[in-house]
Amino acid sequence: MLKTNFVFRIVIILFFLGYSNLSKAQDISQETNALIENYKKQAEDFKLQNNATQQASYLNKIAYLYWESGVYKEAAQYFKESLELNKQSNNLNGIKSILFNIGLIYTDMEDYKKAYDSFHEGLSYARNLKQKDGIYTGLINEAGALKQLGKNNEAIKDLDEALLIAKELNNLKLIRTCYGMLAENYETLGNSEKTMEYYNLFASIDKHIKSEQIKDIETKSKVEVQKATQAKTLSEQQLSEKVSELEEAQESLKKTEEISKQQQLELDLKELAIREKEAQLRNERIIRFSFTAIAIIILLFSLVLIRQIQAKKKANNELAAKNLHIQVQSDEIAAQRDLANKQKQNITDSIEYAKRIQTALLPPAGFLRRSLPEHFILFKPRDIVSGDFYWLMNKDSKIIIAAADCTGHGVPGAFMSMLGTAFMNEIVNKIVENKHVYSLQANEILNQLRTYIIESLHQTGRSDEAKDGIDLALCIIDYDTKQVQFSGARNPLYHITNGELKIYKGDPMPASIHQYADIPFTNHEINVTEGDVIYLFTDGYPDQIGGPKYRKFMSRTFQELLLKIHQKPMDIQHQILDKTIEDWKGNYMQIDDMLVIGLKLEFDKVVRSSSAQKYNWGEKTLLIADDTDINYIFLVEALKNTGAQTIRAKNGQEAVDIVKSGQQIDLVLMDINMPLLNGFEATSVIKSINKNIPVIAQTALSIEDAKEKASKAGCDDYILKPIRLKSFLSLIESYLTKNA
Amino acid sequence: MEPLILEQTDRLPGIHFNKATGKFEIKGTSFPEDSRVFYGPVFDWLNKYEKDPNDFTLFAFKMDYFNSSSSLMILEMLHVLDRIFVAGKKVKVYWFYLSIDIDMLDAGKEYATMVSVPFTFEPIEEESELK
Repeated sequence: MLKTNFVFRIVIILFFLGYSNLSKAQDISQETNALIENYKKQAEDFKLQNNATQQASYLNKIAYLYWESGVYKEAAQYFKESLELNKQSNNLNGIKSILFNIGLIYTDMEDYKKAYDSFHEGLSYARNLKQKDGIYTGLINEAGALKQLGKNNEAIKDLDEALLIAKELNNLKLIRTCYGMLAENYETLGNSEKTMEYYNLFASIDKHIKSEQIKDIETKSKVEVQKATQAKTLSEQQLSEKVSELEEAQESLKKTEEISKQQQLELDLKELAIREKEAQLRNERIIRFSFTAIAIIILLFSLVLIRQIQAKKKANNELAAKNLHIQVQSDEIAAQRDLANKQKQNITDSIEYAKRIQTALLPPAGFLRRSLPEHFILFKPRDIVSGDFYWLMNKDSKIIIAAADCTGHGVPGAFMSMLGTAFMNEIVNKIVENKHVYSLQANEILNQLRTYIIESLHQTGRSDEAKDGIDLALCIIDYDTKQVQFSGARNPLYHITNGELKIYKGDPMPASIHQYADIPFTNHEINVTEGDVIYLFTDGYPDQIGGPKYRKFMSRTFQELLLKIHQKPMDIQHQILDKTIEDWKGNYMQIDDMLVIGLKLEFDKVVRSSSAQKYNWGEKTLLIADDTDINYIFLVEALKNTGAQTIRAKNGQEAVDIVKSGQQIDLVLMDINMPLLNGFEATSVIKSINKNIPVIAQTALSIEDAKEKASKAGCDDYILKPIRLKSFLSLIESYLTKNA
Repeated sequence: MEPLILEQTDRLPGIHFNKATGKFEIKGTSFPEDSRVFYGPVFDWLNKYEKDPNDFTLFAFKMDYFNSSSSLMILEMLHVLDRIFVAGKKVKVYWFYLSIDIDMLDAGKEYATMVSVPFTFEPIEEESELK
């Protein structure tokens, strides 16, 4: 009931507000008009009397009336007249106030330029008067006009000053106004950070003020209620007094029994009056109560509305600010990304170039093939350049080989590996020069390497200096004595003999500064037999993280794998190890450089370059079946120093015919792809004639295929193209001696 | 003293050092791009702790993997513990390793020879993981 009533009232109020805003000159009520006319006359009179002060005062009154009625032009006109008078009498305070009023009128008229001029002038008067509140008003008004004119920065300047004054005056409402206007201006400027800052300040002060107001209203209503209660008590008191008076009177009346009609009438009247007063009191109570209730409801409603509006405004502001922030961020990111890409490209180019140098320093493939027996090197750098490196030197009958892991990977690791390679060369060469190749000891090389590193990196053992160093496994294979030496710095050597894995752990210290840097490395003498396999490696392979549980591959798995595959040809082992670790790694990253070196110890087959002439096949005749001239010439050249006789067949049929002719043939080197009769077919026929003649197939097929086809056709063995001289000669030697 | 707690990631170990509760634990994998950068704050904390250590420090390593530069950092941590131990406080290192990970056991044994702090080696069965 009350609520509907309230809503109705609001509607009426709004209606009136709207109406008064819209009113024009002709809408001025007759009453106001009359008043204005009256004031005009008065002003005229004072003018005649030369009383400028009074005249100005009436002009102001007229202006106010026009202003209230919405007739802005007239209002401004009268204020201006009054302004002139004030200026003549040099009434600074008046001038200031009128200028502000004119400014406000122009603001109402939405002529912000003129409004600004007026405020600005008023402000200068306020400054002359040194009136803080005046200056504050001037600044705020001027800022309002400036904001409308789009001059937000100037407005902010004014507001900053106004804020200072408001703070001096310690007036929360004034401060709040400043914060609110600052927030609006920064919002227009798109400065979200400042907007939020000032809005938050505004909101917190606003909240404070509102709560103060509520308290104020509460106190006021309490006072009202109290007053009402007091009034009621008072009236009741009066009433009871009156009643007792009445009783007294009645009593006396009874007593005297001399009551006149007039008295009776008076008494009745009195009683009536009392009743009336009682009713009035009740009415008043109801009215007070309903007013209080309405006031509270209005208050509550407006609070809810204000809060909702604030929340929405805040949310909008936040959203806008966030959007802006995100845009700025994404622009920044894009710029940074472009820069980073360019820088990355430069760095990558430079590292790619460094890689060429590093690769050039590693033992070249041809050198490895000539120096080493059957072997493989699985080398998988994590980055372009590597902290792992392998190193090889061939001194007389000795091969010194090392698998090394420098601390770190990538560029820092590569720096260390350069150092390591250079040091190793120098150390081994010096030992051989000063002493003799026979005095080469694996541990001595490591000891010296450690000294070189500690000295060159100036390592003293202080905790803050670089502790970089090299972990490595180094072995020396002596082909004369068929012995292997090993020494390890934190890296082991695996030796598989007769299907059994023997692990030689290295020493626990690296080749660098360390707690145990004074202890010499251990030299291990390893007893090996023909066909044993040894493996040197760094920790990158067993430590690779991956698999179903994101876990290390682990040494144990690595050992099991090697035991399983150690009898396979070395290049097959290489493939298997590579594929296994790639599968294990899957989509995870490679965590370190990987290096695994496998070596098959074949002392009997190895023929070093200087001892090619030791073959003496002067009484032997070899049949070379090959249709390609260049291949034939190569084989003849390869056999030149052995003293062996060679006969050539240009196809399979010719080869068969030569054997059929009964000529002495000690061995056949059979090409596979030949016209008329291919190598396999020819071999079958030859074997049917004389199965004692060894036939060795020479093929470019892959190992598995060659092996299978060659044995199917009855070949005794096979050699792979391109032919590796040493193994080729030792293979032939083994068949020639077997026959003899 | 504020506890030092660093969350474990794919390449950085989880660290939980709390003087008040007496929990000292480092676990997971460690192959930071620059180990000095990652371990710097760890040593700052430990060096502060060294000045006023608890009467008994039980330090747990539960590592799956660490690279060579991290291994130097672990040794340095052990040196801090060693100094506390040598100064007369009770210190014990629990070295947890996955029972199948002999490499991790070996690494722990190697460390044990380098410092005087007593080590206890605790294998963890495959299923329970290093939690």
